[in-house]
Amino acid sequence: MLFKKTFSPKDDERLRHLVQLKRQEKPDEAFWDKFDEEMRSKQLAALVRTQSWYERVGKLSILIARKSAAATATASILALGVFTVSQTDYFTGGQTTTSLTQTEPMHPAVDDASAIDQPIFVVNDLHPQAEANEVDFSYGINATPSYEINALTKKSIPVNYQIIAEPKQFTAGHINSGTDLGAKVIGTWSHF
Amino acid sequence: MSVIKTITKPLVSSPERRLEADEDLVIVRKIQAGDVDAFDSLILKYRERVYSVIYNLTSNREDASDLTQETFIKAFQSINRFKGKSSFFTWLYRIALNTSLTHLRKNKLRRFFSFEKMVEEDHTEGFIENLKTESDSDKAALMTELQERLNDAFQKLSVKHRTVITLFEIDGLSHKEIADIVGTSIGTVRSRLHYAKQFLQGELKDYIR
Repeated sequence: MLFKKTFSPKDDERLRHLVQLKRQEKPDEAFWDKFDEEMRSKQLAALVRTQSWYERVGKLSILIARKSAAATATASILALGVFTVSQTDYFTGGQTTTSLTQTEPMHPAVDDASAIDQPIFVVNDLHPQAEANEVDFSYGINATPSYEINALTKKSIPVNYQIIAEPKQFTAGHINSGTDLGAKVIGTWSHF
Repeated sequence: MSVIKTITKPLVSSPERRLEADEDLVIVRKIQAGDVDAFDSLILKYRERVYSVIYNLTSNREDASDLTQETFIKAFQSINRFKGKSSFFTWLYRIALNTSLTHLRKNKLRRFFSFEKMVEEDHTEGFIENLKTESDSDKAALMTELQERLNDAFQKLSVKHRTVITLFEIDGLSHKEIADIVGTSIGTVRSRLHYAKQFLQGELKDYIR
């Protein structure tokens, strides 16, 4: 774009007046009525939004989570894992909750017909705790304890289960064919 | 009627402006103390000026309306962070500018214009009469043409030059006030203003001579 490098004071004055004509580009009263109405509703929304309790709780949660991210994450995952396992049908039949770390087999109620075809879990601790006075070199100091969970059914349905719940890893796979409902510990570390 | 006349009282930095800033601060303190209704008076006071600045930056009346509302909502939401280091007006204008610039950046590829109708006032009549000496066109058509040429020339300016000339010539702010709002030196403001005027001289030469 080519234009003069300098311009006279008169030209400058005329340009100013021309530009200032843009001051006359004004909305009418109806525009401002609509503007005020929209403004009020947006302002109200902003007011409610800034005072909502859940936003404050959310911000507080983020703050807490930042402060203890690792602990919160671990606890959440563990809780999720326990919840997932406890919600399965395999723990029904008079035994609503079961410790996953127990090494004794579980016996479903014999008179519970619905439980007959249900698989049961047998939990096998793959890394039994070393005695207090001895050092266990079978796995590292920080190694994750592992448990094997075997699903046993009367019909020997070939199903595999894998339940991951950090820091503990539960693995299930083998169906012991012909096993009765009586729980039986199967599998050893060598199976993996 | 002479074209060379004062069109609108310019809003120069003055004791009145300082008094205005003090009054605004009193209202802001009320809002910060919990009187949220007091914000309405600030909206009422500044809505037209904020709208005008945003409109002249965007050349779109619908966008300008939305962005003006957004500016006030942002100001309302962050009013507790306003410490009074600058005037409320400067602070509000900064929000308006940032909101507009963000909008322009986001929408630079799909821009369209919609203009306000030019309200005819005494000095407008004078300008048209002056133009009529060179053309016999119908007054309304002449005004429309002038408005289109003016807005077209404005939109050819870069955003930073458009911002400065809008704040100086249309809103009537001083170099110092513009420098505070834009966050630059007074020298840079003067330089941008000079360039913008030169550019507009070239674009609007048919209407100037």
